[in-house]
Amino acid sequence: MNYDHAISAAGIEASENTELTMDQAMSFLREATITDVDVSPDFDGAVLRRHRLAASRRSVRHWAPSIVAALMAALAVLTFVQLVAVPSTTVTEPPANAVGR
Amino acid sequence: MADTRLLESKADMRCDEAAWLARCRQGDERAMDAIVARHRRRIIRVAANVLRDTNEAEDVAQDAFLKAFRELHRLREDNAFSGYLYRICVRMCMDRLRSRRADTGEFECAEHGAAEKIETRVLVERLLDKLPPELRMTLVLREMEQLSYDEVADVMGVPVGTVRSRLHTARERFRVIWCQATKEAR
Repeated sequence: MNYDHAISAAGIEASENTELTMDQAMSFLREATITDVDVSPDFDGAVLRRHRLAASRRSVRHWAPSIVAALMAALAVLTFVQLVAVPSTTVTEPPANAVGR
Repeated sequence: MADTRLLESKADMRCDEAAWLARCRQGDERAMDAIVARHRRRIIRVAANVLRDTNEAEDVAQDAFLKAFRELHRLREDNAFSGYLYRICVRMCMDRLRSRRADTGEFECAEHGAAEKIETRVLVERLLDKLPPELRMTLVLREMEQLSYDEVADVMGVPVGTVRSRLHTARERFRVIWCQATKEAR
């Protein structure tokens, strides 16, 4: 009977000890809470700059395929026009009887 | 009377914010500036509490604002912007913690007797570093940010039951490592 009492007393003490250390640990953690921060003066400016940069990158990424396609089409048209426009350089010789006349 | 005035001013702020957000969607930088100015302190503070590094906290806060502006079209209710931004920030902090752990590998042991010299905040930082990211985040949001279980669950995108079990494990682990650190310091 006394043995059982001793065990339960030890259990209660251990449990109380755990509870106490838990409270201490949690209050230690709460003490370290950062409640106020010093915001760097350029924070807002940096956000806006990065936003602008990201927006221009997105815009380039969006339009790049169209620009490349347009350039390739322009190149193809130019090549075609050049091929059509170049005068034929092969000289056709007049027939032999035409020279005698 | 004072309560009515407070409620009115909160309602005004919400109207203001909805107007600013509408302008943000059209790319108005002045509106973005106003939104950043309104929320920056809270966002940097939560990031600083989670990451325990104010410079890194500012970086994460900037990233969070950029992501929020980029994906503003996904936000259905303008009144929910604050929570939406907070969630983005917390998730970015989680990513940072995970990548940090990948860099540092397993738990580092606290230096013997170091607790005597270092400040509470630095010691807390070291102790928190020994917790896995999910447990650390749950503990910080509940104990430092004072969020309710439901709010923690919402921010972390997990069920409330998971929050309860994570919090129980996190508190117990923190207690054990805190006891070890204080014994070493003695």
